[in-house]
Amino acid sequence: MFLAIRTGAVHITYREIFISLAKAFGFHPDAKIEPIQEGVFMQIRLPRVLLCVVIGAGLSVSGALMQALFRNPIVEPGLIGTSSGAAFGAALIFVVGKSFFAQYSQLLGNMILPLSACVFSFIATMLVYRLSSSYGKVTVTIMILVGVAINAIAVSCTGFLSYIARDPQARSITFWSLGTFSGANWNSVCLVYAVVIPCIFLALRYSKALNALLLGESEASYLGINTEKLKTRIIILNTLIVAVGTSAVGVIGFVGLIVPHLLRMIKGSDNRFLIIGSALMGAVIMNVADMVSRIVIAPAELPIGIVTSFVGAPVFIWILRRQKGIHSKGGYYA
Amino acid sequence: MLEVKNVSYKIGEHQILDNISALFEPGKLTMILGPNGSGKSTLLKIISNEINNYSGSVHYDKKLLNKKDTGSVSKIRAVLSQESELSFPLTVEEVVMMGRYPHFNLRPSKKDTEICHQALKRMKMDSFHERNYLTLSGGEKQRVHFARVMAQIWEQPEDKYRYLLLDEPIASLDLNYQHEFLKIAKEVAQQNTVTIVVIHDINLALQYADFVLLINKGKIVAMGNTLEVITVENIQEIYALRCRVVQDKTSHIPYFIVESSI
Repeated sequence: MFLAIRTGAVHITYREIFISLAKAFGFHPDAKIEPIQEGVFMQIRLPRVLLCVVIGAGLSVSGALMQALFRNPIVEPGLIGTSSGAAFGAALIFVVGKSFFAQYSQLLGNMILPLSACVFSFIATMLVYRLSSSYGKVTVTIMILVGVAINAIAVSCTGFLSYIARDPQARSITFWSLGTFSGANWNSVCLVYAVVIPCIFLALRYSKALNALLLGESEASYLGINTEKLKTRIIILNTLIVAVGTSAVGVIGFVGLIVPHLLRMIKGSDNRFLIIGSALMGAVIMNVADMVSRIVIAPAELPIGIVTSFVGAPVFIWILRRQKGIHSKGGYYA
Repeated sequence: MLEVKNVSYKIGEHQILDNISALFEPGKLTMILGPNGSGKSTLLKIISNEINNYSGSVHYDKKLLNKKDTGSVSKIRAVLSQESELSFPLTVEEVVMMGRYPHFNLRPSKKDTEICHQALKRMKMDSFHERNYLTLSGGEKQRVHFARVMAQIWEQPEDKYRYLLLDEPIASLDLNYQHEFLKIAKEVAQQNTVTIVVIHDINLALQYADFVLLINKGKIVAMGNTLEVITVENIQEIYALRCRVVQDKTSHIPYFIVESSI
């Protein structure tokens, strides 16, 4: 994390970090510090890294949740419409304009972006879930196809919006649909932390029920779990995490897929371990990805979505191939 | 004890179960037999509350089963399905521990762990604790799940009966474990448990069942003590098979030999 704070277009030393932090907490060290370093650290780097941590954690946890819900380890918020739904909801606001809502109230103006992202990602996820399950059983092939279809609809709607949008709006939609932490500021940090952290703790409470759900819906209900309630709650939790995250930093793919998967390879599928592990590991991986996105073409930077998808997609294919080898008689993906 | 009163169930215009009433007593191993599509598994699903849009009623310990309630019975009633769709890498012990989920809140107690070990031991799976469930064979998986449902209702509650419902549990097992399974089921039944097994094999039923329910086309054909229900006439009627019975000289258990279809 410290390394992530230091690296970037403006280099900051550990000493400078320490001094800035001390200042922020009300101490007045005598040591001198360049104002530019302090400014970059306090206003850009620190919120960015903090945002990175929470979004990495959130996306990974939501990946783990979705995988448990769909009883399939290849599910990811990006695959089942959650992210693209959120992206559409946000793009809609970009084009319609925040000001349209802000004229009614200041609060509504600030909240409308995450709110709209939430609504549309919830709709998209529910659609995929409903369409891909019949009699309580999710058929994976259908789920992925439905996911592709819903994604396509959402993406084409977003595309339409960016087509009719005026130039600066269109550019922010494009940049944003690839995901970027460059817009990080204290406002977004506060909002995302306020939503995602409680969601992760709530998710932990459901980890036992989610384990039981791995056995199948009827088995889970024999173990005394109200599966309908559980499913709705998990989808809501997941939507909140992903939509708020997406509204702050755009669409970042594959993190939610790969982090839980790596953890499964290390230590099995117990959701109690998986959710905590995903939060920690997701935070680290997201930071690394963000650093890469800042370094590769410095002093400019890549949208982080490009980095995660570029690395993530091949890993995804590799996982598919590998699992096919182990469980050739169907196994995971039958 | 478990009572089913006037249960009917329809899917569309198709009558799956037609006015079924039956009383299942603890201490007896009850088996439900019938041809494919006769409604055996559906009846079990209604008893286990998986299907809840039926007409009629199901009573546990003379208490009406709330069609929406799932929580309270899960400590005393366990259900084993034909097959489970578990496809995640969990250890055998983690799977068996799921049986204890209704009994603890966040962390399993020492007792829960102890029960898991005993249940695995009973299924002769002691050496499998740490094995990845996905690497097991079909029969081994089924034994793990049997250990799981056993762990779920391991302890005898003070003032209530236990209920064990098994839906074609032995289809994937070898000869040895088929008998092992049914022996354990019978033992459990004798410990004050209402035990219902859906099964296809008439001869295994003759050997193990105390009470048999014969179903055909959603209706009860016969119900009662095993030897009174599994008769040549009944079997010939519902399966449309010509068969005869030979008597084993030592155990005096009748054995059905199928000759031809009618």
